[in-house]
Amino acid sequence: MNNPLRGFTNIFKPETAMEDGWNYQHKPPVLSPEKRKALMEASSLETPRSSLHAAFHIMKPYWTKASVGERTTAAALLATSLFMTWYAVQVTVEFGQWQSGLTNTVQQLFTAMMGARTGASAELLPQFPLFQQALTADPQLTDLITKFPDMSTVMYDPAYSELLKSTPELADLLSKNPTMEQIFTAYPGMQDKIAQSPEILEQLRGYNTAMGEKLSDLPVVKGHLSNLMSLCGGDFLKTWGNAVSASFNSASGALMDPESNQAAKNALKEAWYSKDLATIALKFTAMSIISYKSAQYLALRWRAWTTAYFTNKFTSFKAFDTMKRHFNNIDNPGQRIQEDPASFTAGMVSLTTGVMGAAMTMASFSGMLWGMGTLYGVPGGFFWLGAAYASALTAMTVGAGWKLPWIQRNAQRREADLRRSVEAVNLNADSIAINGTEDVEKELVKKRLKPVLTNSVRDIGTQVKLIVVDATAGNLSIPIPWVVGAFAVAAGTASMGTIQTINYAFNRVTGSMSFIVNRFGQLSAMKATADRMYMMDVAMDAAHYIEEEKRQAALKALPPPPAAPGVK
Amino acid sequence: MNTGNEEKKQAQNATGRYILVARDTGANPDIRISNMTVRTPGMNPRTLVEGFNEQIAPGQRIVLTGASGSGKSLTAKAILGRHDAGSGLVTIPAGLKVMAMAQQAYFPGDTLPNIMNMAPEGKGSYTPAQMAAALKDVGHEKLIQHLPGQQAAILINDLMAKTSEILEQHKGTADQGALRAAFKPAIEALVKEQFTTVQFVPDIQRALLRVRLLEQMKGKNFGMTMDQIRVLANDIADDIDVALAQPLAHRLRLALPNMAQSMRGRLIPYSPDKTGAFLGLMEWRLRKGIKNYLLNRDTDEKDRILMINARQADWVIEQAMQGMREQMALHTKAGVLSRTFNAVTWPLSPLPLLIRAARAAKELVQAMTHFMDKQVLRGDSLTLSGGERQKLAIAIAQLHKPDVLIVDEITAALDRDSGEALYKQLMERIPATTTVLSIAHNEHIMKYHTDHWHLQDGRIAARKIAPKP
Repeated sequence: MNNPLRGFTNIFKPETAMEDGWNYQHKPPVLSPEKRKALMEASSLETPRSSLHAAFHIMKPYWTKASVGERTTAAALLATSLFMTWYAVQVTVEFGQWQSGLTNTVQQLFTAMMGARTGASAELLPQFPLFQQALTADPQLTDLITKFPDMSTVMYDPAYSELLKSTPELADLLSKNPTMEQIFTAYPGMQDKIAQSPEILEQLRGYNTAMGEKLSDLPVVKGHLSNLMSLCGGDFLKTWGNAVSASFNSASGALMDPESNQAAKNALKEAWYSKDLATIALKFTAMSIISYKSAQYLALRWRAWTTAYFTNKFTSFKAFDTMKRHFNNIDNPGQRIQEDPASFTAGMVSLTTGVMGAAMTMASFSGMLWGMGTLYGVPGGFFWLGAAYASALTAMTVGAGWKLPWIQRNAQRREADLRRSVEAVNLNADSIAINGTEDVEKELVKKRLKPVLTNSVRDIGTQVKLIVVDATAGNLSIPIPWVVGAFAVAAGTASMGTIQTINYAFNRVTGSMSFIVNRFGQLSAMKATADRMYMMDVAMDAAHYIEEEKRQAALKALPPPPAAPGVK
Repeated sequence: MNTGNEEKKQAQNATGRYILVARDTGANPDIRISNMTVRTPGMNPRTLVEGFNEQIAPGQRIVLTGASGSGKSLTAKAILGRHDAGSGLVTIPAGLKVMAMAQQAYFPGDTLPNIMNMAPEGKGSYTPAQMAAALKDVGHEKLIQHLPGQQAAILINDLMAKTSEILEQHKGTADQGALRAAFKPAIEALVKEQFTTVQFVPDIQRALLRVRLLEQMKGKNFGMTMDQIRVLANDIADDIDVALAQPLAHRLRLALPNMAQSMRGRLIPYSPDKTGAFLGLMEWRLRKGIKNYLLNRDTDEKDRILMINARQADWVIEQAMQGMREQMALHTKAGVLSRTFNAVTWPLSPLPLLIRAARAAKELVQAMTHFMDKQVLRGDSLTLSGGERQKLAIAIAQLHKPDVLIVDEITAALDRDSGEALYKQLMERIPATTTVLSIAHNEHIMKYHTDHWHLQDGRIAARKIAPKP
C-alpha cells in the first residue's frame, strides 16, 4: 500500500539536500576589474584578509543559492532548534527556582525541628532514667545533646573551646557528621559510665528513636515534608495521571463535549506547569532531544549541500586543472572538499545554537542576578561582578590561546601532506616496486611527519596555557558567589535560598558570558576551517574567471564571419 | 632425512605457486631463467609463457618483441620478481645492480638532485656537475637550472666568452662603474635566455667568476689593481643575482596597488607623516618576515630549499618598498583639513597603523613564499611530457651505470627518429658489460641488440642477431 505521506517524508531526507547542491549550475563569471583583483589575493595569500568575512562568505551560498524548498526546510529546522533551545533555557530557570525552593524548605524544616527539639526532649527524658541521670550530671553534655545534630554551632562556640582542646578525638568527631551515640561515647568520662551500666546505651538509642517519631509527628514538620515530597516529584504521577485520564475521557467521548475538552486542557496545563522535579526533568529531556536532533539534521543537510556545491564548482569550467597550475597556495583541495564542509557546518550550527542559548541564558538570569539587590552599595552589584569576572576570564583565555587558530590550520595542512605522501606509495605501487625506490618514498614520508610533530608540540604548549587559565581563574566562579553571598547573609539581607539562587544565577551568567572561553577550541578550529575553505572558494572563482577570460578573448580573436551570400 | 624431504617438498610447492627470484652468491655470472611459466592473475588464469629456460651472459643485449597483450611486460616484471602468478625460478648473481625503467616514468615528490640520485639498493651520490652532464647528454638542458649552481656556472662560462669583446670596447679604462655597466646588458640577455626560475649565484660560482675575470683582464693594460678587479667581479655577480631575482620583484609589484588601496584606511585618509610612519613600520615588519623566511623560521619544513640569498632579499625589499611608497603617495592627502584631522587623531593612530603595516608585510611575505615555493621543481609537480620524462629516466640510467637494465618501451612516447637516437645513446653510454632486456614494439631499434626473443603463443623463441659493429 502506498503511503500518502511518503512524498512529504522524503523532503526531510538529507539526500534531497545533496541532490539540490548537485543540481546547482555554476554560471561563468562576469568579467570586471574588481574580480580581477581577487585573482591576486587568490594566488598569493594563505589566509584571507578577514576571517569574519571569510566565514560569512562560506555560509552565504547555502542560504542564498539553494532551492527555495531546501532553504525553507533548513530555516524550519533552525527555528525549531532555536525555539527548543529557548524553551530548555526557560526550564533551567524553573530548575533554579526549584533549587531555591528546595533549599528554603529544608532550611525551614530544620529550624522547625530545632525549635521543637527542646520541648520534646523534656517530655521524653523521664522515660530513660539512666540517660537522664548522665545528662543532669553534666550541663555541658546536656547542651551538646540538645544542639544535636547541628554540630557546627558547637565547634565555633567559645564555651566549648576548652573541652574540644582537651579531647581532640571529640573535636575530630564533630566535624564528621557524627551520630548521637558516637558523641556520647567520645565525651570525657562516659566510657567509665558505660562500663558500669551498659544499658545506658540502650536507653540512648531508645531516646533517639522516640525523638525521631515524636518530631516527625509534629504537624509543622509534616507540612514541610509533604512540601518536599511534592517538590521532588510526588505530584508528578498525580498531575500527569489526571492529565492522561482527562485526555482519554475527552478523546473517547462519542460527541464533542466542550466540558470534558476543557477539563482535559486544564489538566494538561496543570501537569505541564507543575513545579516538581520529575516534570522539569521530563520537559528538559524532551526539549534537549528535539533541539539536538533538529540541529544535527540541519548540519547534515548543510554539509551535504555544501560538499555537493563545492565539488560541482571544483569540476566546473576545468577549475581543478587551472587551480593546480596557477594556485600553489591551495594545498590538498580534496581535504577542503571532503572534510572542511563537514566540520564547518557542524561547528556553525553548534555555534549558532550555542550563541543563542548563551544569549537567552544571560537574558533570563541577568534579571534574576540584578534583582539580588545592591552589593557594597552598587545597584545590580552581583551582575556587574559576574560581568567583570567573565570579561577578565575571556581576556586571559584569548591572551593564552590566540595562536591556536594558526596552529590548527597548520595541523590540517601538515596532516593532509603526510597522508598524501603515504598515498603516493599506494597510487604508484607498480612503478615504485619496479624502480625499487621505496626508500626514497620512505624518506619523503619521514619529512612530512616531522612538521606534524613540531606542530603538535606547539599545540600542546598552547593547550597547557589554556589549562592553567582554566584551572586558576576559571575555577574562581565556584567560590566567588558563596563568599560574596556569605557577606550578604552576615549583613542580614540574604537567606540560604538567596545564596543558592545567587550561586546558580551567577554561574549561569558568567558561563554564558564566557562563551568564547568555553568554546575557544571550537572557535579557533572554525576559524582555521573557514580560512581554508574561503581560500579554496576564492581560488575556484579565480579559476572560473581565468577560463571565462580565455573564452572571451578567443571569441574576439576569431576573424569576423563572412557575410552571408546574397546579402549586399 | 624425513624433514629434509618435507622442506624440499615445501620449496617445490612454493616454486609451483610463485615465480621466484633468487640472488646467487656463486661464481656463475649469468642470469638463469629455469622453467618459467607466466600466467595472468585471477581465478581463471591464461598462460602467457610456458616453461621458458634461458641463460643470459653479462653484456648480452636482448630485445623482447611480441603482439600487444602477449605478456611482454609481465615477463619482464616476473624476472624482477614483481609478478606472482606462474612458476619457475630466476637466478640473478648477487651484487648486481638491477635497474628498471617503466613504460610510464614515475618520479617521487622530491627535488631533482634527489630524484637523479635515487637508485635501487641505496642512494647514489653523484655531484650536481655529473648530473648536469648527464642531462646535457640526453638533451634536457632546461632541467639543468634545477641543479644547484649548475646553470649559474654555464651562465658565467657564456658571459666570459663575451668578455673579451666587452673588454676590447673599454680597453684601458680604469672606470669600474663603466665596466660594470657594460656587462649588464649581456647578463640580462643571458639570464632571460637560460633561466625560468629565480635563484642565486652560489659562493663557489662567485669564486669561479673572480678567477675567470682575473685571467681575462691580466696584462690587458687596465689601470686596476687585483683587489679592484675582485670587487668588479663581485659587482658583476651581484648584477647576475639581481637579474635572477627580477621575476620575484615583478610578482610583488603586481600585488602592491591592490594592497595599498586596502591599507590606506577607510575613514582616515593618510597625511604624509602618517604614510611615512606606515611605510617605516611596514618595512620593519617586512624585513623581519623575510629574515625569518631566509632562516627557515616561518615553516616546519626544515628541508625547504631556499632559492634566494640575503643580497637578493634586500634588493627585493627595496624594490617592493619603493613601489609601495609610490602607491601610498596616491592615497595620501596633504590638505589642511586632512593634516589637522590627522594631527588631532595621532594618539589613536599607532596601534591601527602597526596592525595595518604588519598585515601588509604579512601579505607580501606570503606572496613571496608561495612564489618561491613554485621555483623548486619536485617530482610530483614535474610538468614534463612523456618523452621528456623518459629522457630524464635515461639520464638517470646513464648516471648510475647499472649491471642489469630492464627497459619497457621507453621510446614509445617519442617519434621514430629521436626515439632511435636516444636509444642508441643509451646503449652507448651504459657500460659494455651491462645486460639489457628491452621490450619493444618497433623494429628499428633491433639493431642495437645481440639477441632477439619473440613471444608468441606462450613460447619465447630466442635467436642470435648480429650486433651492430
